Amino acid sequence: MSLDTISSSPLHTQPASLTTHSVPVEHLDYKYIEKCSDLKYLEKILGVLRSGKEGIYPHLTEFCEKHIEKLDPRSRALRKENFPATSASFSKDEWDQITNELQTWENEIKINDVELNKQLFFCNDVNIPPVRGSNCSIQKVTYSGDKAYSKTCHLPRSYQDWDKFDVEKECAKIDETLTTKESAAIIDDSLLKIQSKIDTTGLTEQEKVVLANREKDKGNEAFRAGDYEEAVTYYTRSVYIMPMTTAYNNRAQAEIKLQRWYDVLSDCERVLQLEPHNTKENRQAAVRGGMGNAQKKAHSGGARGPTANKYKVKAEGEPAAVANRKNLANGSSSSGSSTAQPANGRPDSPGEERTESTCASGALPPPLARLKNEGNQLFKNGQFGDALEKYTQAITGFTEAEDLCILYSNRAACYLKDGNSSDCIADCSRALELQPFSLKPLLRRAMAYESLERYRKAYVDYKTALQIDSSIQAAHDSVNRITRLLIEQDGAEWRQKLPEIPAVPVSLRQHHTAATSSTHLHKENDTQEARFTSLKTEGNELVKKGQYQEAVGKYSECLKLKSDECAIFTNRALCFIKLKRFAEAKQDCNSALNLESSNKKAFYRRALANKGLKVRVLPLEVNPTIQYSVTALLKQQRATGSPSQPRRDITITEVEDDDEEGDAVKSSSDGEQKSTSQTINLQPSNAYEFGQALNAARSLNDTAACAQLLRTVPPDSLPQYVSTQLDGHTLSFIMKTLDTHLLASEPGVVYQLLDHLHTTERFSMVLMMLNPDERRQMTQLFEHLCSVDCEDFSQNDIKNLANKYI
Amino acid sequence: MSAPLDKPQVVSHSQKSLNYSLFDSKWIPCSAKFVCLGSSCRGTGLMQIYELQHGDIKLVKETEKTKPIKCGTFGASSLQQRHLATGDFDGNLHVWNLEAPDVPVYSVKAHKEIVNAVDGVGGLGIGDGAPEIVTGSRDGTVKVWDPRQKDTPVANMEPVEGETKRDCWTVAFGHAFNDQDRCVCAGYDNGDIKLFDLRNMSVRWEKNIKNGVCSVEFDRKDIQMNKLVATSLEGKFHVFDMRTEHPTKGFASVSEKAHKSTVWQVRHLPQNRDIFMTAGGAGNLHLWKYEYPAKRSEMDGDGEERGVAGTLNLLQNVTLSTQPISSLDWSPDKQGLCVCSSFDQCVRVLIVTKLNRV
Repeated sequence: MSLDTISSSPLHTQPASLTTHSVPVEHLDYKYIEKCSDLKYLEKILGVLRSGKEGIYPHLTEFCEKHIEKLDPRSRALRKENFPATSASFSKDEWDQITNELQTWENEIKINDVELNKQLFFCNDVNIPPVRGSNCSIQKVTYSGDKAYSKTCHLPRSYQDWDKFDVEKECAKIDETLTTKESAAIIDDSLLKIQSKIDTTGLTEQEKVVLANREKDKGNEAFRAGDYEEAVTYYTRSVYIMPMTTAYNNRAQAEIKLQRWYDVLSDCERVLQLEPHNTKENRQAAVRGGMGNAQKKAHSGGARGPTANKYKVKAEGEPAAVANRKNLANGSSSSGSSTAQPANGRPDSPGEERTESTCASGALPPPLARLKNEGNQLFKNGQFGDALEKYTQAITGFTEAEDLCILYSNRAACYLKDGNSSDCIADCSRALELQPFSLKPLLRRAMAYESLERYRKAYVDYKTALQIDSSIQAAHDSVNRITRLLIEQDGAEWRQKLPEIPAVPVSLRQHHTAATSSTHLHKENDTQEARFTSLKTEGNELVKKGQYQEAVGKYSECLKLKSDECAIFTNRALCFIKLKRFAEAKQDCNSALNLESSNKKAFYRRALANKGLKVRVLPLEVNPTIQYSVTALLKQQRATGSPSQPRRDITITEVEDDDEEGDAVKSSSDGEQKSTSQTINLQPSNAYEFGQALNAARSLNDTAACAQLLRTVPPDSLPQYVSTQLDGHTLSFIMKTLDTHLLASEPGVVYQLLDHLHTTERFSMVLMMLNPDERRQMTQLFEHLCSVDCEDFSQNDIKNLANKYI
Repeated sequence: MSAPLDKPQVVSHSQKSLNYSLFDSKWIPCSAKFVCLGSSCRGTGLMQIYELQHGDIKLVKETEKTKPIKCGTFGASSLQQRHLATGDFDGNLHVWNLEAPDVPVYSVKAHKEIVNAVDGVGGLGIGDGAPEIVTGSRDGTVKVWDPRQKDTPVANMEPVEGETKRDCWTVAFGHAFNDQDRCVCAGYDNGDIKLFDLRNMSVRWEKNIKNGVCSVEFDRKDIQMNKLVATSLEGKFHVFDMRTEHPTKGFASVSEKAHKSTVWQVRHLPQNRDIFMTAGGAGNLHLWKYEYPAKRSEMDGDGEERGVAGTLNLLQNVTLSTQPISSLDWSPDKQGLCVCSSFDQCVRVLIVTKLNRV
């Protein structure tokens, strides 16, 4: 295109085509528009209204737009001219984030730029293929003068043509199918092979990183398009250039799709090798997902027991291969929980403790660190026997006291889980020799003693542990229990029969003054308590004002004073989330969960943090892991259903500056109360109550209650009510209810509900994820609806509606 | 539908009015700089380098050339060199070292008339094989050049003797996923789209979309042909699924009207091939996402495989100016950052947010 075409382009003239399909004036009416369901005609009406030929009616135009949107939210007629967003279009946070991100990038890229210019340029001509044709048998001469154009050449529009040109009409042709004859294809499948290796000699590190990332992106795209083979190839290319965990992880994901379990496992292993300190949940979830899956297969293949060799993956497997990540994550968590002994809220529930020790092992030489991490991983998977071996190997190769202590302690945990109490005691003692008065070995030894019914020794160990940290509830419980047993056994004089309680060294007392409960410290504690409360309130105030950074400072000070306050952790996590420091947020949530394993806020915020991490790290994996966390939350809700368990009140007031989040937290905790009381509130007045009621009905599979619920809801507010709750199961449950309970008596209501339900957010998404059974159910419902005569709607309406659903 | 703020937003980060006609703008890879190419009012060519500096656009370097420059590409240069290949109004192809832009490092009289479009492959780590530049000109020919070979093109695609020569408006490389395979797609003023296979030296596919083809682009150059977008003079564009070719029906396609005016350019997001931006004659930009169908191919009655086109989803549209947007270029390094030039003599740096969430 040259300048001539620019000036000659006639396309900026106003289209004058609307006269051709005129609309009677009486159709420009609210009632008519409301009743009209012919989308094409409505668009015409809108065109007339917008053109202002029949007068300008802003409200009617808006009404017409809304009606069209109701019928088809993606209608082209709704597209409006927008202007670029400015800082005013964003909240301050968002805008700051955008500008800061760009500024950081600008600074980084400028450094890169300078470095790139500094680099000595060396010609790597050897790698470049030769010039085309120089060693090619085809002569350029024969090629030029190619017969490509020998067919009758199309002529462009003449200039006169353009005068008559009607953009509207021309554009409207889009909806008609293109029926043009095309030339026969030359299909050439030979050599259509993507090489899995790339020559990277002579490339700088920087170039390699760029290249590796690009190949990974290509893989991601192929994955999204469903070409898993191609995706695997590109990931392979990416890791060939530069081994990156993300690429391995993604490849594993693609391999899962292709059901190549061996490859999945080896990729997962490699991720762990590359990044043993990787605490990022998503990857671990991915890895565990993969392993859990493979393990499940191993189990189904006949190799039972937690110590069964996980590599014995049966290739023939079942066809019910786990299709997506969500299932995988579930699989891993379920396999984890089925193999691991119930933790009963003991302080050393494996998952948390492992990560902690992982962090401590920074000084381990790589192979040993790897062994240890493999051990940790196996422990998490519940394969205590295998973990034991790994730890043993690590112990034999290592001599440094601090880490050795951890290794012994970990091995002791394995022994404990395997029920081998005597070896556990031996290991704990060794660990304690290396590092006297470390908490975990003490607790483990105490448990082991207890299980061997050597209560006196157990008592002593628990007491010692409590001196170190008085906040361990489990230890307190055990002490009480043992005290009772000992009184029963030895009578009132039981204390005298105890072995000598190890005098806690003065140095250690000093070390743990805060924890000891001598009277003069009580006063100090009181003042600390006051300071703590004031700091906390200050922190909350700051959060309300949006000064998250300062709030973090306050909360951190709080934690220095009192490290066992769950609410502080969750609040600080909130601040971190706001500051986009997701990794720290997650850590805080984990700490909170350590303190209170059923804390909803902590779960929810961890999910948020995971989401945040994912957005940065692996866009591919966003949904499943969130679902993973959420399922964990749901499970937790079920688990904590027993009314006898004392629930600690969250005394701190939640700072409600983010509505959506607050709601979700609230609704989830309310949901729990519902499920415990097993009653369903059939008169919901807002979205939470509706959500709870719906959930309760669904979990009880109580369609009658659901029907009652749906009756009470005004149909037009259904989308708002159901919005956050909508998923495939809920949808199919609603469908079932409509079909079985409401259809016969109130078809009008059913129609109304259906008419509004599809406008719910994420509806199309949910629709996509329905399984065939659920789809069939939906089709059935519409069939039934069709066969009912009702004055509220016509057959046509049903058809229109059905199109939205099926 | 998601809430409006969840949609990607196009933010006008900064803009600068210039005193000459802008034809093309390109990010310099691995930098915060971009090049603007155009024609001064005296009828000479201008090549300017701008840099982003704390939210502002600052002129870094300016060079004047004898002929107005129409188009440019970095596609055939290595990341270390970052040489810019340009085509000018006189039919010359030049390759410039931007550090020393006075004398071209490669120069050839490529065409008899204006070079309308240029594209490169084989550099910047994009595309396996030799670095090559393709030029399309008003003289009706499409030529492929290797900067290592002087004076003669490595491939020349022109109509047979006696045939009317059609003005070639746009060219694009694609299918460069290994050493041998490579395709060039060219669009002509009469609506012809031709796909040349450089390995077999043949025309692989032809199609006429009835109106002049302003811009063609593959979603990625360095993979097996996946999708091709072709925009046209009267405001429509077509997306072809290039994976499955039916012996008689060719490639499946979906078309969409966007601008009610010429769609001047299409550019795919380098970080996500399924998102692309079209630039329109009325000064507006449309951001699209291609959604794949459940199955990309199906068997027709004759047992032949036939492609199934997906759907297009408009993510966002903005109006920037009253004049046509002549060029648009995404930053290869920063997702969502793009530069566009328009005929109101303005260059704009835009940020598109939330691209990783769509």
